[in-house]
Amino acid sequence: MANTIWVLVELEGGAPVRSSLEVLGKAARLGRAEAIVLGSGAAEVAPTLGEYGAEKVYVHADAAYDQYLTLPAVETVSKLFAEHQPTLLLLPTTYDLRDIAARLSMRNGMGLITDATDLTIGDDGLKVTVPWGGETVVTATLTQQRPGIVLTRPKAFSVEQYAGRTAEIENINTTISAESQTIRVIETVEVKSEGPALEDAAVVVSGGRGLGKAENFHYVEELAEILGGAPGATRAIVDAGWLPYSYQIGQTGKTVKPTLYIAAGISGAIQHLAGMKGSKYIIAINKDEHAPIFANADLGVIGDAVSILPQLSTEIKRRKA
Amino acid sequence: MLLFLAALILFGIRAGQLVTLLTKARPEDRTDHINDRIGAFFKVVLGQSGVLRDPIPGIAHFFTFWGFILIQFGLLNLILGAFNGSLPFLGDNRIFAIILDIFVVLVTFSLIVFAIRRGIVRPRQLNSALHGPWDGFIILGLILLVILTLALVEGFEYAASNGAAWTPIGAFLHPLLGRASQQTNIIAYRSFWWLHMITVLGFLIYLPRSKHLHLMATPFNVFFRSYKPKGALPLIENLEEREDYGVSKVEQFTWKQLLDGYACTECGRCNTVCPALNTGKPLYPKEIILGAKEALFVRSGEILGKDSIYNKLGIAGIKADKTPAEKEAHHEPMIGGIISKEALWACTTCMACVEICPVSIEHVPKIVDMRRSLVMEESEFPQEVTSLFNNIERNGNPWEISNDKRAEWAAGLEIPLLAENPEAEVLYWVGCMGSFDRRNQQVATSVAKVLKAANVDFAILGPEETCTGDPARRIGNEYLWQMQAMQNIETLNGYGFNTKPETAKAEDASTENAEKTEAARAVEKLGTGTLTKHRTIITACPHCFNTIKNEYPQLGGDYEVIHHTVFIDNLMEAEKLKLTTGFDKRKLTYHDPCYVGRYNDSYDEPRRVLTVINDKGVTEMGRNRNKSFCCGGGGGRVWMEEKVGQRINQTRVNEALGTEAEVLAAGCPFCITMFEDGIKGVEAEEKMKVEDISEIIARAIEKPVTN
Amino acid sequence: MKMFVCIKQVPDPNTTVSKLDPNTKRLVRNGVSLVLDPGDESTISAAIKLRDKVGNSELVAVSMGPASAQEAMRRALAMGADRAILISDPALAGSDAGTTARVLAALLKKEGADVIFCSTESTDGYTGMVPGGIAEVMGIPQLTFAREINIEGQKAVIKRVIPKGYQTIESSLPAVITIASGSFEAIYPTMKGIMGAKRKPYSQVSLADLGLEASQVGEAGAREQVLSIGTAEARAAGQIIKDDGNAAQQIAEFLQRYQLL
Repeated sequence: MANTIWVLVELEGGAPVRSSLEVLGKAARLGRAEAIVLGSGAAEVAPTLGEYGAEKVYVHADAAYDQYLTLPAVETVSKLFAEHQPTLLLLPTTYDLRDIAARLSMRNGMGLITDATDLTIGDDGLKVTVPWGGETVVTATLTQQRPGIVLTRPKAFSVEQYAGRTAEIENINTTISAESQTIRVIETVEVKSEGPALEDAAVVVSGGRGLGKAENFHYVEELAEILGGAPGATRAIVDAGWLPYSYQIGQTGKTVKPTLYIAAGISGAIQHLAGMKGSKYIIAINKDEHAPIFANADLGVIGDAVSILPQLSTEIKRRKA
Repeated sequence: MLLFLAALILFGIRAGQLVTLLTKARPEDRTDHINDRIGAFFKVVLGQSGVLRDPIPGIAHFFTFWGFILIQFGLLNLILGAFNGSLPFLGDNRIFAIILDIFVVLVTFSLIVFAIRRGIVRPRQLNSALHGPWDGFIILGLILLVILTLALVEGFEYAASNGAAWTPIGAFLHPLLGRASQQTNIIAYRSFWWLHMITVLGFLIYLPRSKHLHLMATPFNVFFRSYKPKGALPLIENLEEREDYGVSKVEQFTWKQLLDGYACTECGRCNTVCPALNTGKPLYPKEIILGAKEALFVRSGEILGKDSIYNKLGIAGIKADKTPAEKEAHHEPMIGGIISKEALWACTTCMACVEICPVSIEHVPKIVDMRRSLVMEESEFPQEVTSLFNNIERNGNPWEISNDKRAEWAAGLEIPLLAENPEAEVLYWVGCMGSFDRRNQQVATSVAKVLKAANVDFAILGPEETCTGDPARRIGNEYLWQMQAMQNIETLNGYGFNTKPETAKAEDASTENAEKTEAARAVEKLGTGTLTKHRTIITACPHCFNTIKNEYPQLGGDYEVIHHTVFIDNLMEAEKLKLTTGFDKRKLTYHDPCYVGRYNDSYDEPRRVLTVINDKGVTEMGRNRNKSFCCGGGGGRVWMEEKVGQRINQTRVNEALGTEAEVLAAGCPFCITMFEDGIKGVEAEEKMKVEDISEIIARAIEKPVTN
Repeated sequence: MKMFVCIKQVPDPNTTVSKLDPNTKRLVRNGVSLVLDPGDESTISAAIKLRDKVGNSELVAVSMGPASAQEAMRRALAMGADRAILISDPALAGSDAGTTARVLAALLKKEGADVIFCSTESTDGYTGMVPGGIAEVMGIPQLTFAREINIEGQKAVIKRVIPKGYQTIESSLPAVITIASGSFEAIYPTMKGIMGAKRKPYSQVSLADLGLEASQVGEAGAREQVLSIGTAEARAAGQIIKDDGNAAQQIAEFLQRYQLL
């Protein structure tokens, strides 16, 4: 029997967001993928979802979802659950979908697994892979026969193309209750920034005295920009006046915990390590093979950061293209 | 007569008020070491040894001080003279008259020196926020008036008595005044006599409100100075039961801390040596002392209380609020008001101010007391410090590192844990920097090599060691320090390191050799296996060293702790460590860490070691020994960001670079860290390396060169 | 106003690698140092600030966990919470996020909470499902990722972080508010706080006190099951290479391998 996997597709500026499409592609590989699209742009988006794997799309083009998605979406999806019996609701971990998953699971008594990096549905049922604390991987399942929810880690899957597939469109016939519209959005402010704030950045590229001179710091900035991250600095080069204090990472500066930390020309004094040790992956480039930073690096490169950084920027641009 | 009485009463009230204020402050016992106190009184007060360290104003002050005292006797003589009497012995003594007049001349010259200094040279440290620019000149003017009137009194007296009342100045002035009639001379003599009296009495009344209060307070301040170890901050007792922690209101200082304010001569020597002030931070050590004095005067009415005689007389407020703005400023809290928080946080606790103060003022404990209030009562401190506190409390080290990993640096070096070798003669206290910081792990490794080369039977505590709490205490978190200290004391006592259990003490007394230093004795007994109950702790961290040695006794932990440079010096002296002399050919300078030098007076030992090992000896920086300029890392400053002014570490590195030395030798992990950052900051990596003394020695051991 | 903050004691995330016991399939709590979740410190601080701003309000710290969680509760009290309630019951061991939410909601309902603060997620379990779950069981809105909070009459107005900036939203009370980590500096307790915490009301309640059945909670109530625990594919630990001209390529490959591009 075919498994039916639902995906709630988030919209942004009238277009589906990438994370939803990634999960939709995974759903299509697991079985019959069905998408739910809610919001004023839903009708326009729905027909395009076939190409990303959806065989059916539930549509409710109501502006109420544009306000504050959580409560109206929970109400509508709960109604759908009352009428249909999908195997699973598969959602990427995003700000709103996380809120929605929590309420949906409680409202409908559904099992819920978060932070999945992969999942399979075989004869022996659902198997979800959840990494745990760096050293352990858990395989988990849901105990109930009813539909469950799996939230996946960002970027766990890639977008897949199903050229020529057209999705069946079904309009949901419902009105959103007043109880689900108790939250009002007063204003939405887009903060245009040149990149993420150092503390929030998923990628941090930082430089130290090994860059030689202040002018070379732009290699760090370039790489940070290409990786969508933020540039940072050691106390030594802030002290030397290359950069303002706001760039400083370390005991007396900022503490960062990005997914990727690239340390260029940084020896790795404990004062610096204290500010970045929590990073998930650390790449260090330094001329001195005895530099303490290498003990903390997942990948250590003995070499001159000044020559490697621009090459790396070029290489990443090439691979991304 | 009435005039005298009125003046004396007014003076009495003013002085009485000042003394009463001190009695309202917190108690503190300063009656120990009574012999030393008397000695210091002679040396510092009568001998003026403190001010004489700065020769020009020092000598001028010496003359003014003694001149002033002699004038008081002269004054008494004059008063008695008015009633046709005289002082016994001195009254008609020509020698006294000569001495007095010599001092009158010397004081006059001194006053000229002072006036030039204050008016023309104008060293920045003489500025006074409390008394304004005129107080100094008023005083100089008053002294001058006293001197001039005295001279004129003598002159006219000589003339009036036709030379019977002989004084050198009288005789000298006589030809100049001689033409007047006898009558005029008598009137002039009486007029100047009165003027002299009134000036002296006016001086007496003015004195308690001016910086010249020091005249009266300094002798007491010197007498009551601290004889506790310099490096020990005062303990806050009954931490869990009290209502206040540290000082937020001025009356929470002890009487001695307030006497500091009275005694301050506003000479500003503390300002000239402060590493924070000299790199552009808003910390003026002098203004901390004077700020507390001002806060005391502003609050005097409230402190003395409604029932005090002074309040009943309506004269309790020593310093009145002249304008509404002043009133506003005066009634805000002392910290953040008269004394700025930025100033308190800028202090590196380097002790240079305390060291240089000629009148035994203790700035650092005051600053820490106020930090204590900020930390423990207001939870207000530089934000970077939060993680330091949390990490020390949770992990027993300043970082987010599990304390289980404390001995990892020693893996493969065959260094036993004390748990494995509980009878080890020496405990090497590694400290957090030596244990976890990669740069200082190299120092720890070197220390271990040196100890092995000298066949010292030593061990480390490993995970049983935990942060001594020094940074927490100096930042003001007394609670955290006490928790850390108690834990360490329990561990050390558990291994029998305490020197004061009864048995050890008795054993100790018999072998005591007063001629030798603690370190020399410690080295002497190595390998003898006799003194297992009185064992030595050595450490390469002056901050651990200071707090264990000088502060743990406050909580019942008395240990023999020796800084590694001193220990190495003694190992060499006892020939347990034999090194090739002149092994190191590099030009080298040495930085005295504050907590080794000023805190514990070890200046010679590190230099001796370096001189043996280095063929050029030590090339000194301008500021060395007790004038050493802090690296910027003490007092918890290493854990805080330095955002204002120039960097202290770079300033010191530049000074070191000025000697053209290739090596900056240090003996403190914080100095090493600060200087290595400083060298990077001034981009001088190619010119200078920072090395711990143990690293230099370890190299000498590894590669002995025979010439 | 009655304000509540839901907190948790977790293995110190800074010094412990969180581990699962292969037999019980639960988090290993023995032999690790347990602390108040660092994220919760920010949340408590945000709640204290709001309580003081609103005035005439009480802040209660609540948690579900073993009796040893008392230490974390004391820290919350030392920071400034007014009282603390710990829900502790042997039957609760092995509860999933849904059960945790139901149990906490039962207490919060009983106490008549107006504002409920939660961290976005805990540092050990990081499911992030409890705040929404509480809100759902109580039938009240949840306002998430708040970086600024105001109470205006019977309404909460918050600034919430969204991927492209921030949003100001308004909602009726009671409501669950989750805190954007990093927006609120954690309060370091004063001595008065530390000493006062020992005298503040502290109570422990059981399932029966909340009118819940043991069969609904713990492992019995869980809808998820751990099938197996394996070892993660060991990350090439500390691989060191020398740049021979193609270091950039090697770094790029590393990035691709771990999906970092």
